[in-house]
Amino acid sequence: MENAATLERLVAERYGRLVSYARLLTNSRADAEDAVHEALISTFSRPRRFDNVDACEGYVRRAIASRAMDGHRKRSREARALVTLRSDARQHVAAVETSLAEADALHRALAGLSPRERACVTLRFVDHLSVDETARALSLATGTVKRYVSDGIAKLNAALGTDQDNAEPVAIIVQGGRSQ
Amino acid sequence: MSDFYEIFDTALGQSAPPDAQRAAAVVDVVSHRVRSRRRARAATMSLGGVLGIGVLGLGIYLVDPRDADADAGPAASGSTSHSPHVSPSGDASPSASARADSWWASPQAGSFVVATPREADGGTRLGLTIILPDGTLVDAGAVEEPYTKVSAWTPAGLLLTQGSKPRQTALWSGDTGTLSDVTPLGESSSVIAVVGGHVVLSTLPDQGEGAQTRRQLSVAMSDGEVDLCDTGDASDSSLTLSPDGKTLVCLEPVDAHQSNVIVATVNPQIAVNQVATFTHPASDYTRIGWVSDTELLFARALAQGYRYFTLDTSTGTWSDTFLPGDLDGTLPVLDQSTGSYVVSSWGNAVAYDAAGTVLGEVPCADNKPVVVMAQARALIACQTSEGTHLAQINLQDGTVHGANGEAPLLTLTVGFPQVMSYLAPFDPR
Repeated sequence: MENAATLERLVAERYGRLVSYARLLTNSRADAEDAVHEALISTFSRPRRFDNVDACEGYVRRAIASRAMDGHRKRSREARALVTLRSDARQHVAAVETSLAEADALHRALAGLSPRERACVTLRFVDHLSVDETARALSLATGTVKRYVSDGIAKLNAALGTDQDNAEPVAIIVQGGRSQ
Repeated sequence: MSDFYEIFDTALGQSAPPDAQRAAAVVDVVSHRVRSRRRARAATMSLGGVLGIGVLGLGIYLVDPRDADADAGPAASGSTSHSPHVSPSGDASPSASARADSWWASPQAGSFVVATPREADGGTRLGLTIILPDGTLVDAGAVEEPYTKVSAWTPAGLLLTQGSKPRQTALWSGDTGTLSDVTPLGESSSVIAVVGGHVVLSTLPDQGEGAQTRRQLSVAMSDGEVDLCDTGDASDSSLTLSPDGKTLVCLEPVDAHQSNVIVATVNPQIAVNQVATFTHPASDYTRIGWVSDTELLFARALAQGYRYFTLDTSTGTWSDTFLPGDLDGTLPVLDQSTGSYVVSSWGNAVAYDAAGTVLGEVPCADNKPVVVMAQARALIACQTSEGTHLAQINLQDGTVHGANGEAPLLTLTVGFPQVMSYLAPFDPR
């Protein structure tokens, strides 16, 4: 696909999802949009060829995750306090619809995670990456990713009242070539 | 409650696609920035060719042609003059309340600068207070918005940055009470240091294949940039400027397991060398601070405590010491000159000598204080409902000022302060 056309199609079809994805990692709509824009700029600044818009979206997601993790380290205490205040304020205007409430609860729960924990958990549960793949994507050691995922799941379970385990998704190959 | 996959899926599906106008605006902005970045990259590559930057097989970079070893790599040639890209009195016209003080001309080792918001004249300013080694307070003035953060304390002054985007940076010279613009070249760059008149930029460059997190360190020139190193995951903590402002160190990842120590010196030309290799990822090392103009202290967590490395950045040699500790707690803050250290916990900060004997304590009810070290003195910032109280522990004799019945050295009621220590150059005079 030609780059300009890929960019136009990606923005038209996937921009909303990319911002939502970044929102999980940044806990701020404004930072999420910044992260998406920076990721798009970096992706399209180099001559790259993507076979389809899915491949392009995957590439942009990796860039968003690494940028969000990096950008969050620079936040001041004041900024973090502001995020907390915004989260508290959202509690009073939370939508009644279950899906929105769940998403809102997730955003608030994610605010309690460190940026690295948030990135590792997001790559695990949104992108369905394995520990090894997450480690490669974020340039972290495998053991470090395991610790962040484990700690992140524990914090989310505590905040959301869930009972998610830490088992990696495994594709089971059945003799004869079928998978389940 | 759904499982995590469903919950995340729900959150991911929340945003509606942009309307046509919004999509077109995003494409326009991204396309424009892509074109700008390509032009900048082309200019940088051209500049690199003129200056003769050699990239050697061993990973040693030589920027200064005079330092180039004829046997070690490509011959260097071309111009040796580097024009600093400092643009004082730029468009932003920063303003500050001037408070000339002779102290600024000769800052003392072991001093701290405390920056905190101040309400003044109906607006908010960034107030600067210096705490001298004997606890004396010096009002260093206040800088008007939008400058909200102290990025570095350099011999040329304090580097201040805006909190918002695009980030503007300025150099606050307290002795003259002036604020000069130091504006980065691109929107994605931020100024992290001024070294020998050169502006050092930290930039989020294009992501390489695999989209690894990296931050590029470069020196701004009159018409482009010269790359110094690519940092890895621990980008923020892996860039640091020596007390005399002549040496810049960053950790550059080799792979997922190792990292190179890259040292850039300005004397007055710029030379960049790899002086050592750490056998763990950069993210495993916490930078504690400089203990001299050339020695940098790092710490790494082990199973039973922390190992502290004092790296001589001029030679690449290092020495180490081990402190037992609880990995769930905060990294003890070590004073390399005495071997003493301070441990911050919920409720207090306790200073110990090298043998583990308690030297002194600063209580901090219901909070975990922040500890900043400067030459055998630890500044303790304790946040309370009344504001942030500052106290100081002298690690040579264990005396505590500003706590245990004494009034705090300083109480800050607006925001949480940024605290930075100043380590004076080790001047042979």
